[in-house]
Amino acid sequence: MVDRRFTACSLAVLALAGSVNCGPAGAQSQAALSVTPLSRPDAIELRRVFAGSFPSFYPSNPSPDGSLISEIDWSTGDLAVIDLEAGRLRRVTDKGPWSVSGDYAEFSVFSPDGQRMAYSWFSSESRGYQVRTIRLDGTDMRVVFPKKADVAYVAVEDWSRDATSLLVIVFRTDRTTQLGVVSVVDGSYRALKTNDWRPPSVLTFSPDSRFVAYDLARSTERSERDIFVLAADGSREVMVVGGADDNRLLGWLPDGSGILYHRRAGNESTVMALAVRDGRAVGRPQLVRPDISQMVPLGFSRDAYFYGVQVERPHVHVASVDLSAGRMVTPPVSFADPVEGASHDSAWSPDGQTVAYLVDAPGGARMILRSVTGEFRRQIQVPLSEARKTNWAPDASAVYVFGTDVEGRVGIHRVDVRSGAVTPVVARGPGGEAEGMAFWDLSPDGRTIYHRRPKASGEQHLVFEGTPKPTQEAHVIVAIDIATGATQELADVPPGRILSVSPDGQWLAFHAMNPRLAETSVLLMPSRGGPTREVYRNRGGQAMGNRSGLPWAPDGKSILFYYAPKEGPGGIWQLPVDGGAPRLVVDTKVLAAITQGENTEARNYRLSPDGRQLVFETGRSRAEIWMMSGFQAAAAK
Amino acid sequence: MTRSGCTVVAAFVVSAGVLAGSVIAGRERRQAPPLGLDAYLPTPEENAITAEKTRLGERLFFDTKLSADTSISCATCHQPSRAFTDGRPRSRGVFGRVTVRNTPSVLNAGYGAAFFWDGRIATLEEQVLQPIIATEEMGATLDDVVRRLRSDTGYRAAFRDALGEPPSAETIGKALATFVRTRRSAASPMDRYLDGDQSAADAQAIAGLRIFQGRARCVECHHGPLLTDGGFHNTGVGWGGADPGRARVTGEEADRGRFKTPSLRNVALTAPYMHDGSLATLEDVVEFYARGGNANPLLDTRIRPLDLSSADKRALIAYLRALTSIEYARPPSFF
Repeated sequence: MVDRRFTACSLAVLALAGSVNCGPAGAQSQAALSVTPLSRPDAIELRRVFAGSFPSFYPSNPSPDGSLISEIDWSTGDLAVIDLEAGRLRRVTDKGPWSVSGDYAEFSVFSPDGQRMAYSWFSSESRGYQVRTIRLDGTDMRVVFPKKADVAYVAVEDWSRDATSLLVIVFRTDRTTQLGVVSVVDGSYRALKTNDWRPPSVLTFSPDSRFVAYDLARSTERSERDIFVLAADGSREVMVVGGADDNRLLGWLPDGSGILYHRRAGNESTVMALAVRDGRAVGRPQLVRPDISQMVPLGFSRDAYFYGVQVERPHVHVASVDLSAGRMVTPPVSFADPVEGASHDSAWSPDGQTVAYLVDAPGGARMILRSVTGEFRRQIQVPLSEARKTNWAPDASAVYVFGTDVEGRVGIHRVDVRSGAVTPVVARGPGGEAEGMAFWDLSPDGRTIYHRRPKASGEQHLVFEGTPKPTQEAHVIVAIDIATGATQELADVPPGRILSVSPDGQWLAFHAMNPRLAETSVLLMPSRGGPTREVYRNRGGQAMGNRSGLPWAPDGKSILFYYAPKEGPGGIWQLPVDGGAPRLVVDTKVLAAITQGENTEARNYRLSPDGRQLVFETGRSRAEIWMMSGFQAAAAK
Repeated sequence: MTRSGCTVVAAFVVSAGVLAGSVIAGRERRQAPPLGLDAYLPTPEENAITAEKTRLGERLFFDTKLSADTSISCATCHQPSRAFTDGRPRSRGVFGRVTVRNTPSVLNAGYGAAFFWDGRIATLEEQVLQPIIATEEMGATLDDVVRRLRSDTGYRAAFRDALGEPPSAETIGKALATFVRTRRSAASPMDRYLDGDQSAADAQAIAGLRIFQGRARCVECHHGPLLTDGGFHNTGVGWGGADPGRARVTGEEADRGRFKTPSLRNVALTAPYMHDGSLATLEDVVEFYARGGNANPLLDTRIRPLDLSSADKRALIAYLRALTSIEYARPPSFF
């Protein structure tokens, strides 16, 4: 109903210059006011301004003149910019390689004059997040928001036009999320509004800095979002876009006349504009573009909106292997349908006949269950954000998945493959920390979850998938009895990521890393705790990472791991647990053939129960940046 | 409380800068809230904060005319010197009547979304009228109170200045709500510590903070600027008694024994504790949670026995004491 009303309303407004006031849009109507059209679809132009492999998007923001996009150089963790004209990534900070410093940048914005950037910075020394500013030439770095005891994470979202304030989202250690303002003049912090664990996806000042717009999940049980405008002095807040649809803020129109947002209603995705005057919605939403389904919001330059699009991402492949001979039998072939989008985190069913894997989808993920013969395919909607790392229950009744459910519970959830019901198994409360639970495995009898986490040091910190972090402090391997919730700390171990249980349930294999020496090791320990034993160590090159696997062969005599040295052969290796020399099973050349040489990494590799097939994800990662312009032309008309 | 006593307290309330609200004559002016609180203070558009309204609400808050026998005022149970509580397990109303529940503080109530221990009222404007008409509290009728106020020339003028209307249930509610809404209180030692002042809290309180957010899991329900989730939970307090708690509002059996999570700000000043005032000290409260609450079929799953040492418990109490707002750090003789 709302959908039709939106469409009809926007067309009418566009044709007749609008005369109806409603706000929140889609929820109620107000007195009539004259409304100038904010946009005309025929005046809006879309242009691709970048195509490449490196945008990670979430920390990104365009410069005021639209020539640069902020980014992170993940090869070092430095703050960087993409020069859109040159198509190159340029570092702004110069912290040195990971072996020297575990610091890294995250969310960033440009100052109104384009001369400086503000950014979130993880300091490995203080083990906490700061907000910093720096000139684009890398000089004059200033810490404007130091690490604080109750701040787990801080995201820089916007810089006020008067250049005095930064808008930030503070993720507090008490599991609440706070919208706040940091003064770049004196470093003072002012909390605007505190929510439960739910964070906005976009938070932005109005051009006159009197208001703040943001979106928020409708409730702790829903993923659809509404859009709010909050007075920057805290005097009032108004929901300007509500209703039944999923409404995600894109930004505040550069002339301050309203907001731009993305609306998803059923299968229809549109970009809409809504006039906002004195912090309140004016008129009905206006159609800007009817046909844009995928948008990663980056922000406005002075006159255009920039957004990202993922056009190609790795997906699940399967290859036949002969572990007795230590070789690949048939090369990898695509197992998932690439049109499904990025597919990842696959797992073999106990009988080896079905592979479950995840596909990114709005509102969470889809779990695809697909038979190896291709005769059977089923999908289950899994309302978990950041869903990853799957394991089948031994009786094949369910697949366990790590992720965050709509009520904010972070941890391992059970997806019933018959009913599709998703229930938490071992999860922290809303907004709680994963505490390394993403790196987990299930005992063969399905009774125990093993995972690893940083050893408690009194300082809380988050573990973010895909984020290289310095982890010099000890980790601890934990066993959790699923039935009772009883937790047992098995052993202190060196920092690392991966952990897997042997087929007989008697051993744990895990990896350890020493970023300073660029060394990676594979260690074993009894699953009941006991002394650890290193069975392999390498140095340099591309080694096991967050998304690697460490699967055991069915006979429990060998383990697969990934390692690609800078020189010489690399790929997925088979390592005898008795300490013998590893054998290369899947060469990176094979992976390079799949990705046209762009990527030779295999992730989340899992062996079938008979040990004859290997499923993993690989492929190119391609993204584009698009520019939407023509707002001013429309407004001027 | 005597009338002169009320005047002294009222003077304190107005003189304490943190509590004095953030208004100037005739119009709203937003000032920075006390350290630790949000700038955004939910306020109905139809009841904007003004100095006149706040002053009128303050006068009403301390006036015994609002009770049936003119013996008590709102401040009888909400005493500023006790962080707007009364120090009794359960409140005493007119004619010596005793209520069934403990007096909650009104400090920072403006941030709330559901009022009373069972959350039966959704707005502050409505909430402030309920004690006036509750038989076991002030025991009056709104008609009587309106009549009394309309017969008072001073009140007539004050209502006209503040609200442009004569006294009525609606305008009384607006004025009282404005006074309550502007009672913001924070800037505790723990707020100052979390803002970066390393000397503001001692090591024991800081250790208590970590236990509070970590092993003791208090933060599951006590979080945010007010240290409450605003939700309703069954901890087993009063289980088996006559008070059904939230179930009286919802009619749901699952809500039996659930009561609103109170704010922990100024908790060191608001003994006795729990909705029925059954726990006398902070030590009792910590022991109660350490043993896993009172067992009952509807006990909140988050309430489980805690493995806390004596040192842990002392640290938790030190943390709770560090939540006392700056204005209450003044010498007791001030009151």
